[in-house]
Amino acid sequence: MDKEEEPQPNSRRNFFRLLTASGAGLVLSPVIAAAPAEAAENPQTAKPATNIQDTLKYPRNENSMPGHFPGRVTQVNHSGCIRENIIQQKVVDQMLTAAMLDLTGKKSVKKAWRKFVSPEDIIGLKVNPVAGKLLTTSHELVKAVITQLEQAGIPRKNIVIWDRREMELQETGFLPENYPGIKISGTEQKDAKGSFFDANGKLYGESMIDKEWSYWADVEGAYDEYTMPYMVNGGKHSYFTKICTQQVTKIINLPILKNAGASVTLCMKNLAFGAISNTGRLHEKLWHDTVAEVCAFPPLRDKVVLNIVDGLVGCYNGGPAANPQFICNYNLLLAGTDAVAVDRIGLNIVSKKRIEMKLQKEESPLASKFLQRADELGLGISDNSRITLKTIDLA
Amino acid sequence: MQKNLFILLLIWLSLALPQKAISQLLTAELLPGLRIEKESNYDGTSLYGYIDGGSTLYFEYGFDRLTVQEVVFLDQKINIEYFRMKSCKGAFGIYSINTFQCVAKDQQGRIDCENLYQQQLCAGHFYISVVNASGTAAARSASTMLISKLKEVIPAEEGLLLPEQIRDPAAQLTGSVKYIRGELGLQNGLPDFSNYFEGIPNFELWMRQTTSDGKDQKKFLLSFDTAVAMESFVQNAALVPSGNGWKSKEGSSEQWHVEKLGDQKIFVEIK
Repeated sequence: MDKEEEPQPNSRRNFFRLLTASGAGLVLSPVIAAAPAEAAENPQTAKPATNIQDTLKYPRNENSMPGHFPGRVTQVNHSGCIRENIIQQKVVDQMLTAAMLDLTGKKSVKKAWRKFVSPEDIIGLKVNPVAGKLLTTSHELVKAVITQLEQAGIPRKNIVIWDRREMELQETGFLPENYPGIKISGTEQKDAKGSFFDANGKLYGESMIDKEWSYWADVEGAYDEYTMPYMVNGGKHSYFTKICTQQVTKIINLPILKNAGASVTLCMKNLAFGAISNTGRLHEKLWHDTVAEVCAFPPLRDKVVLNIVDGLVGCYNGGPAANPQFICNYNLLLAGTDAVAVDRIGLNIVSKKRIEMKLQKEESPLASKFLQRADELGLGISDNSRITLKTIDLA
Repeated sequence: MQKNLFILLLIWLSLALPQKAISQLLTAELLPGLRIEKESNYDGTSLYGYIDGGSTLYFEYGFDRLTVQEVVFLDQKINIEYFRMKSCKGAFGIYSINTFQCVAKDQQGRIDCENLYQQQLCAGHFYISVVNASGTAAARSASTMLISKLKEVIPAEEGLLLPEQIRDPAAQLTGSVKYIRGELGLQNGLPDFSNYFEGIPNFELWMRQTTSDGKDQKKFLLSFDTAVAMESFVQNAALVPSGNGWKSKEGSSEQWHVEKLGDQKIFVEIK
């Protein structure tokens, strides 16, 4: 085998390598202190250890995943939700209403939403703007959710639109002028001058991570100075954003129907990789584990009360980035409290499209590894035969 | 002494020439009417800042650096990504798995293709993607002019050497030849093969796909880093011994003929 050019993503500037505060002087929470000390024996093939066992000891509450409706997914289709490439706000409102009433079995929108949230809650809407304007969580869905939350008595000041990178939120139109009265927040931040660092040379992102909550994995994150602002810290800990741990009491998850290779990046991926720092190290050997295991930590497990997948526009290839050639109108929404079941249904839809387009002959067994892991962790139901899918065709 | 100086000069040239290529981006001087609205550069792990988890695929192929230009040309907004890889093979590999449904052009020794929204070019160490968001005739025309200029600016180096088992001078490369060197490449370019490589972290795969009498035929050259890895592949694919190699079991939907080319290399034909 040709060895002359092994990939070495950070070899060019190792002398710039920064290992930030993660390595020393941090406050030790039970989760961090109990991080496994042993490295995997065969780094090439063995799976690195993580601290997942420690977090499973935290008692669950009534909101814990899979939430109020384990194994239930509602799919709402509407062929007229996009006309001349414009998403129709009124149609999306109807689709969301149909999804909420069906999922909860309630007769009114207000009662449906109050099943999950109350006016005292601070509600985080976790969107996904990472692929840019072409393939972000649609503003029409976000606005429909906000409108219905208001109908349910939730004041706008109690709503936070959030994601990992504040600058991506801004680039995709999640701006105060478009969402008056609603807080818009990201973990990784730049100031008005475009700098990631404050006057003291400290990353803004560092003040946004909560060192009481960490996903530890025996993989070192080592980044150059240009990458660090996007990772916030290096080392073996990925810290949860304070948006999850301190600022919100409930989370409504609004991912997009996208592929990631032969798999998907939907509810759990949107939560897991959106809620922690130092993610670069986790992609290669722990992608499936991270997607499932991070969702098992209380700041996500106990706060995510509802998942609504934006499948108005999505993609079947080229994801998670946005390649216009592979963007398609799925014309649907998926809703459920069980993120695992919703992801399973989403994977079915994307795989079917990929097979139809002759990208693959059948669903790759590797594609659902994260679902099986999440099922093992008690986060939801991954087996198609145990999921109740209700499909509503509005037009 | 002169001989040594000559060798040193050759080494310097071999290092310097690829470096020069990165400066050959499109500019308003090269292409009057071109307006560059934003230009960003990424190298090392900073690619995470641009495409986050998507960057892992590029690392797998030996990513060196990326320049992104957001330009306006003939009133069309267009995004140009210049991925410079550490080898011509890496550049072709990325190109080969990113060109699904991209109509091959492949003329005059160039490797490129186009579809409604995107034009792609593989040239030497570069994989270049030119994307327009509208897909209109005007946007495609503007993109075509950009690609044409890029072909003038970036020479098609002779660095891409296909293994002889995959070579076919009469056939196009785009859409028929793939180069894969890791799990993510498989998932993106050949997902139906992923199972066969479970537990095999290091390998190289060349594939040529042809169609004869309406039937697909595929040829693969597979290289592993150990004999054990090669045996694992044979087991994962449920092959049975046959001659100097293996074949698929009786009754399989695909007929595999596998020739052993050493302890770590095999040639596969699937009909």
